[in-house]
Amino acid sequence: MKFNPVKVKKFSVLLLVIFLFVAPLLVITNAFHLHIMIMMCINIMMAASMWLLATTGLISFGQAGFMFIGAMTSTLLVKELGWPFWVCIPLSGIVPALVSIPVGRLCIRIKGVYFFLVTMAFGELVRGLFAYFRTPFGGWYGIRHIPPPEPHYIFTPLSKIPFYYLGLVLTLLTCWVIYRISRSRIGMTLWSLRESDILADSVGVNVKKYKLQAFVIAGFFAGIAGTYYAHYFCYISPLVFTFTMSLNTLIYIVVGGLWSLSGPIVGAAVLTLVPEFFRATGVYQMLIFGIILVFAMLFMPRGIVGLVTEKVFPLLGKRVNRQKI
Amino acid sequence: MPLLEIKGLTKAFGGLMAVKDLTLEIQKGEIFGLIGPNGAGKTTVFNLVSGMLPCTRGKIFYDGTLITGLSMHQIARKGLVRTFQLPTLFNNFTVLKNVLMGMHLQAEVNLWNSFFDTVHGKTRENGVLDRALGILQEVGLADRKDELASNLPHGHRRILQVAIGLGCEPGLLLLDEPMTGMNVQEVGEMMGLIKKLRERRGITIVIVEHNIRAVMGLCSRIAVLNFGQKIAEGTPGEISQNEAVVRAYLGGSL
Repeated sequence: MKFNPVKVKKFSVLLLVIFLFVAPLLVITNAFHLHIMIMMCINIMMAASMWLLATTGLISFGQAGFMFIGAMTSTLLVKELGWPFWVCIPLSGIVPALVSIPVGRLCIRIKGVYFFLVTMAFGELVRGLFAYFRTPFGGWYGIRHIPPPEPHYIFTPLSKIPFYYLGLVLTLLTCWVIYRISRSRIGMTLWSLRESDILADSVGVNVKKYKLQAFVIAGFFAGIAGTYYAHYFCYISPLVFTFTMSLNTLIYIVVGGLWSLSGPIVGAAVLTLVPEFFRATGVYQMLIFGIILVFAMLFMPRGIVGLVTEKVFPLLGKRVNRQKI
Repeated sequence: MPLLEIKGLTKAFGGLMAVKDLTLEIQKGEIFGLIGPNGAGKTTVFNLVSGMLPCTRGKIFYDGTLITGLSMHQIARKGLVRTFQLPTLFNNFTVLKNVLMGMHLQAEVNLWNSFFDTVHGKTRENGVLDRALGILQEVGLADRKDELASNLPHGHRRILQVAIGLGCEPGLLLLDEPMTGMNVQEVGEMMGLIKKLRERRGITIVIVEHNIRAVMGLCSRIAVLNFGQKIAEGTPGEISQNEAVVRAYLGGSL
């Protein structure tokens, strides 16, 4: 039977999306499971946005900083000024995006490890800033009693299902936008920067402009993930948006696979889920997580998605083209 | 008016004078050779002219416009393109995608067009694809268009480098040691390609090479550098007779 690989891919994605929409009604009804799905949404949004930046070769360690800025924006607007949540959602993407412009201008001059360090410094700077000022940023104590989205009778503290759907929609939107960008000419240009930015420069690519664009987009979606976090957990503090969070996001991308958008999605989903299986082991949970990561590095250099494409698909008779870009 | 004018070009790395007071004129439509021993500063000249390095002193004019101080991509936009000494390619892209990337300036769309897949963006992209295939046809890599660039043998990599440069529709092409590591047959092919570029497309070419036979065969004029300074300039015949050149670089009999 002859498969058109593109049609198969599109159809299976559609099936997955439909499944995700009906799942809470049929399959995933346990509140804790829904919580895990919600965490997955946040992690996927962070991983996908950071991935777009990583395709230019820039590994940013400051994504948690932008997430914090986004979370703080909508928290202050909703809690202090009483603005409706739905107005604040796009703003909590726009504010970190605006901040990321001067930050990016500065950071993009630097390459490789140093970029990594400077963005990490930025993440810590955001934390430090918000921690220093008790008002209005809540200081080290953070901000509690963040109102959930309106209408309040739907988004009650105990109802996971509306939050799940909100997260699903936000995640699908994020992934769709990033997918479209990455598959366009812009996306190809971003990849070329990772391959060889000097060569790209010599054919007329304005390297700094494109890197900055990716940086701003990554900041935007990190902010949106941050606001979703804030209004679900109803509490944010500098102890949440640490560089460990940025590190986790990076791990999702690396373990999932760098070569296409499915990598960070799969990586975030799997690595949110897998530690939960080992929660029963108590103190050994993180140890096992660490061992899994080491194995992933050793045996899956192209990530989970890379492994599946290179090893599993040939068994199914699917022709493998190594080039995934 | 010369296409490329270099006046008093100097580059100092601290105390080391990599290029000292170089003055050159490249006329439109010629193939100009730049030769000299290793470390003479030839690649540095290319780096300075293409905007990769800032000049310590001196001015560079392309087609009458001052280009000193512009960044590399701005200079590429004006029509001055260079290739690199090492086979720099987009390794994980296919051959076709490499050339498509080379055509970046032709296909440049902004984020909006790209994202919403506008008709404007799409028709531009289709035209670009046809021209990219045309370039591959011209350089002889059309049958390998879907192969990963990293899988190409060395000789084809060099040709692909030139093809990527062609994508920008350059007026001036700076080729940095395009024949390094090639066997006799491949050198012949590259020479044929360079001649074809000059004849069919009217591209002016400046070539840095160590393969003296190729340089003598291709270039209408040659300049010789040694320790960052120009020690001779002239036709291949004049250069091969020049004593200073023979002593410094060509050695004994030719």
